[in-house]
Amino acid sequence: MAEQPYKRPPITEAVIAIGFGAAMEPGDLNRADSSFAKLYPQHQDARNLNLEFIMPDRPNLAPGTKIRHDVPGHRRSSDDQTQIVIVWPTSFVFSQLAPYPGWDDFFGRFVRDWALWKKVVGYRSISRVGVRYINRIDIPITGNLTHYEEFLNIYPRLPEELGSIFAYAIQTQLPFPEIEGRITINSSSIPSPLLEHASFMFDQDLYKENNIPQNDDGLYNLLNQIHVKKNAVFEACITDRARELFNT
Amino acid sequence: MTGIIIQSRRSPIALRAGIAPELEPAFSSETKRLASQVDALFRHQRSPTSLEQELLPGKTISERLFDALASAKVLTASVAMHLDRARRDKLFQQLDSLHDLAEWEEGDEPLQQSSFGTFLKAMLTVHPQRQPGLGLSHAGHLIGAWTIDRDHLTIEFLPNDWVRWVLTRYKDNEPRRFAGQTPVSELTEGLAPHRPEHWFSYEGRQRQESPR
Amino acid sequence: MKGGKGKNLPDKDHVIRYVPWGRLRKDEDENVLGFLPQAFQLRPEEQYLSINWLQYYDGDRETQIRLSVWAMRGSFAKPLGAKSAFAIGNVAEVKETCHAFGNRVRVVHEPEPNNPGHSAIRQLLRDDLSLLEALAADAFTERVSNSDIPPKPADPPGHEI
Repeated sequence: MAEQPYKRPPITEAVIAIGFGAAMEPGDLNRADSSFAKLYPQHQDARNLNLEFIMPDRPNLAPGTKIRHDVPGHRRSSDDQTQIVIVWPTSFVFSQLAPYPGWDDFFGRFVRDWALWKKVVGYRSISRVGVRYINRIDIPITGNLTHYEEFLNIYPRLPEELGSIFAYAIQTQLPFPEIEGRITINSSSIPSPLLEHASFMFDQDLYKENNIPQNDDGLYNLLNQIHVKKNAVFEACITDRARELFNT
Repeated sequence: MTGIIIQSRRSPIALRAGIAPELEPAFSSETKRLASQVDALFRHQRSPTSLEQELLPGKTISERLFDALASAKVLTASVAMHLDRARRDKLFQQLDSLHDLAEWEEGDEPLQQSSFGTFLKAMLTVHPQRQPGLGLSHAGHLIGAWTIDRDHLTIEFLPNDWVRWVLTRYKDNEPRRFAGQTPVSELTEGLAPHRPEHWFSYEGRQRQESPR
Repeated sequence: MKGGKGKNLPDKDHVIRYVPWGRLRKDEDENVLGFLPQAFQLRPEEQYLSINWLQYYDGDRETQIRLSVWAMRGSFAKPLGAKSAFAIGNVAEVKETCHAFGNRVRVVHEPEPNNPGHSAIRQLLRDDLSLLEALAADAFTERVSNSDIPPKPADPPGHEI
């Protein structure tokens, strides 16, 4: 299959996320952020905030709050906001928004940035490798009903007597035995950003959380394996009618 | 075949486990746990890099302009597969220019995301050959302007998929003005009697420029 | 003193209004072509459209424009953008344009301590886009770029007491 088989791939975001076993010190995190400044000049502070509400045992008392975690990070992007890097104390997230340039470009950028990251931060034990591709399939409306079954092979199966539906969302978790990993697929109908279209999200998250290769060659091989599987799963879940849409 | 029913302009169906707050005390903790797990499935759908701007009261105007621009560019990315690269780059130049701090009018609101969403929907439906010149109202609504000599078409892109527009066409040296306010889905229909190709196509511009 | 608070400006005179870059009418290449209707739109908290009276100042037209712009620059909290402009219109034209839309406006002198030529268009309809477009296209027919007006010379030393 050609590296980029579609003129207008439906990918809205492609993400590589590397998780680490131990959190970085704030100093290291800030140095890592600074090292990306030339490549990604737009910077925003990021926060991962998790709050807990503590319900009182009597109705006339006010609830309390507790901050379970408040983790600072850095989000950097290109000027057009399509190339993004987010550094957290326990992860390195690398992302590409549409238009998707193809795996060679995307992976090439990752290799470059990963090398820079390691140069600044040094070796850190990798505990999770994940690749996520979020697609949005925009189907032109031709009548009152959009038959998603003509475009997708993954959707809820309902008894005919229930008739048509307003919306759906499904999540599936599959084994990924080739790498001893897992695949989580989310697929749902979503509000369309286009007029006269019905839109469907197809989101694949492929990841490995054990026996992660700790050297670069092993990591790159793993990511390429994941990419091949991602393509196979995507192609299995769409029809030729969807392929026609991506080439018009 | 099942099929999905197309929603009207009314807000799309929000998928949730659906336990209304006032009914919560009636449900068992097991049911509430299941509902919470279902809701968590939908939260998982957010991308790890999605922007959620903190609405802090103390943000400087420079920070607010940055946030507005970043959000607009991310929103554009969501439909980038339907956009020509050159058009997208020009649009970004225009947005950067509108949010230049040196030109910023105190008291104005930066570009409202909802207005920009309406703009993208309109442009991807109308597909004008000629791109508009852009402006910004003091409320942060994007304005698209097409001009051929004294003939003007101005569209203000309002939040929640509404537009309002006014056009001026000169005939026998006298202006004829028409205005409308409609859902963006009816923009093409609203402009149709006024031959919008006059502004949207290069032929319309050339016809205006060629000597009589 | 010329004019006076609440006095109507003479019909033959002109008014000038500041228009920021975001409300200038431009083509797709950002060449400025005129004014957007929203350049004359009242903000929610505004009761009148703020303008300056050109003929408050004596001298030729160029001098009146320059002195008006200097006064307006002085009345803003921050420097005006280099790409902004000023819209100039005749008082009678402004009133007739509004009247054609059933809107009787008053164009009155409302001097301010640091801007003695400040004036107001009162009773302007809010949000009538056709009216605003007519003001932009037919009433305010002259444009002066902010960058075309030099900075006001600093007061000579010893001026302050």
